[in-house]
Amino acid sequence: MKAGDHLKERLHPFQLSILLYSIQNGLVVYTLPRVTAQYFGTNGWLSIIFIFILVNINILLIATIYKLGKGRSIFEIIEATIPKWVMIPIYLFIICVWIGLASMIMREYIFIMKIFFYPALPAVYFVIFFTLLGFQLLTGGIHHITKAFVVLICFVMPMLALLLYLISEFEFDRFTSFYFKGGTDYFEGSLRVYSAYLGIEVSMLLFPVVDKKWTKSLFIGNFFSLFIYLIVTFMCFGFFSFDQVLNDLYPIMTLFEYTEVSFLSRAENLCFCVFAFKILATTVIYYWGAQKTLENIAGKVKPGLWIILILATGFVLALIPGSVAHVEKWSNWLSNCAILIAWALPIFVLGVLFIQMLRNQMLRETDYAK
Amino acid sequence: MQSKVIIVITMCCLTVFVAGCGESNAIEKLAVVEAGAYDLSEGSENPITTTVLFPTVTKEGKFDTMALTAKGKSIHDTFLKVQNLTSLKIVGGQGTILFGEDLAKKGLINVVKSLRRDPEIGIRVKFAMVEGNAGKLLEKKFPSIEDNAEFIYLFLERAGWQDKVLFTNQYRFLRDYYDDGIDPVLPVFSYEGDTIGLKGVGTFKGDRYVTLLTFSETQILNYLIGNIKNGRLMIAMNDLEPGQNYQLSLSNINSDNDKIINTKNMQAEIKVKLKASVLEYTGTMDISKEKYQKQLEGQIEKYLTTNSEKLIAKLQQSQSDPIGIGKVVRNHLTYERWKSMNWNKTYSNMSIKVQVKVELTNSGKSI
Repeated sequence: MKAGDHLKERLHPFQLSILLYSIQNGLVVYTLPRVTAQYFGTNGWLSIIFIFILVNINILLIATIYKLGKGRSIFEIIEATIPKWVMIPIYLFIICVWIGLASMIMREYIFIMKIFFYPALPAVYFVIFFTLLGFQLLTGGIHHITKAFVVLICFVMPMLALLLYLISEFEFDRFTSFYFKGGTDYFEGSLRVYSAYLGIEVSMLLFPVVDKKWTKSLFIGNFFSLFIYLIVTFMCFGFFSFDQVLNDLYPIMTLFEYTEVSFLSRAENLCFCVFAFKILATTVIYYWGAQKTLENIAGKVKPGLWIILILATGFVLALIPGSVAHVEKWSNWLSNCAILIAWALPIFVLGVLFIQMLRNQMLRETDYAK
Repeated sequence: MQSKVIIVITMCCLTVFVAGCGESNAIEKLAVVEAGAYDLSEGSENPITTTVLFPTVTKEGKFDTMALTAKGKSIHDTFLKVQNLTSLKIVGGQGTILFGEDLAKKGLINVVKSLRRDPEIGIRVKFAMVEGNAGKLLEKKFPSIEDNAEFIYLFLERAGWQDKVLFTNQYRFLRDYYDDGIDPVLPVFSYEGDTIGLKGVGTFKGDRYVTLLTFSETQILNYLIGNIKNGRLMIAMNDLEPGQNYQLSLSNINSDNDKIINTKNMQAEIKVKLKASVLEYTGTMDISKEKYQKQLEGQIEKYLTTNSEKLIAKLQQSQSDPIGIGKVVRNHLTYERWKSMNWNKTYSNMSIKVQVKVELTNSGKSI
């Protein structure tokens, strides 16, 4: 295939659905049962459904932009009305948040890996691996990224089947008959649960490479995430007692630790290692988003240079945090910023589109009057 | 383009596998702990005694085990001290953890939490209690037992299959401890005489050991907790009526358990339906005849009802609820009422009835 074909080739809706599922911040799922229990109280797993509805509204905004903008990229839409230099600080903010969040997710994964399995191995090895893989994927462009993820996710998905082995310990009595009792902070909890769906907002930059009817993939990909989050969290609430979930830092890890099949015991090791692919997907897509935004700011520079710059920044950032608490603080803060971007950017672009449409209509009316 | 995708996928797989090369251990230089025992020691300076048991191989290639004991301020303090007693590197991975009676009476949660924090110790590690000193059980040599730790591990594994209540591990202990409507239980071993034997089940109030249930009480508890598939039951009928004196052994028991709660006046009823076949009967009735079979069913029902109610009264007195009546009560109340209620007190004053229905499906191969 010639290099020029990339531009014409459009992504298949199925591939897109998988891509969108895989880029959502999966690492949160490892703490999700505890987070929902802590902030929402008893039967907190239900909050995942409520937040899912919010995320769908967010996706609806993105889909509307695509429809009203008639497939133009968001940069084209914005810059048709607002001069580029006004937008540069906002672009830079977005880039910083995305690179920062990607690095923090990577680092948090490495920390958990070190706690459970390889306490003696230096974190820098993992970061180098992630960065090298990130480079390979990013230089290939979004088509390569998508195809690789479709294959990699096939490794992650079968892990869910292990949950079947836990059904014998599952008991509905442990759910309790109380709903959202004993929770602490619903707002903070919503932000934390929302961060599990983050990653989908990068799809705003996919407009130039997708088919016309791609928006349904957004919803399918997101629904896929809901399905997986719901199934593991639901399992946790019936498998553990409520206070046990509250006292376990990584309940999903414990859940998989308990699976024992004649050919496999303590499956959490395998599960978590394979989960690296999902972390890679999230990290790479955020880097890709940052790369696209940078290219828009200064289009004349070679893309390879941007990739190296982004990866170098990500590499350094990932090595800064010294403790799990540190990395959690930063990733919470950055994911809050990312949620802000996920909502504010589409609303802003919609506003711009609205102004453009009004102006067009006025122009047409004045033309008509002439 | 395809080759690039292949490179990426290969690298991904490499990442996963190469990550395992960080640390290497030679098995000859390791002491892989098979079982750990924790006891309360005398004196307040070093309150915890830890005993670990690991297999060793002599130069002639003979298999043996070695037990090391140390006193310390905490679990890991004792681990460090145990480490200093041997040239081998002690690594976790124990299959069984034993608690001494005195420690269990004082409360286990601090010890269990320390164990939970350590990623080397799995969530499936088996938990059990020892009547008296747990460390002594590991140290003592029994003529019929080669490896004490392996014996207990396999014993618990088999017993857990036969009686669900004896299937205890870290996950189950913590789960029932953290649940506000049920209390944990642990099997209790004793090492008097020439062998290690199962004494019964110790029930807890929170994390403190309160009562020992005998073996026959343990069997009944098993049926009161939940549904049982393919269980067994041994009944000595002279327990109940002095005139009767026969043994009855039931097998292939499938039971159905239903708990009914009346929240107005706080009454509970446990309905148990048993379907079983007779494996042994030393009485005089011809149980192949339907009339006598019914009579026998009635006798078993009476035996189980009376003994269950006795057992529940014993549990209520010690405010221990391993049956999980609290769970059912909680799920029938509002959150506010449950939280404002002194459950332990309510539980010990509650009226709990048991209704047993027995159906004998067959009486074996002969008359």
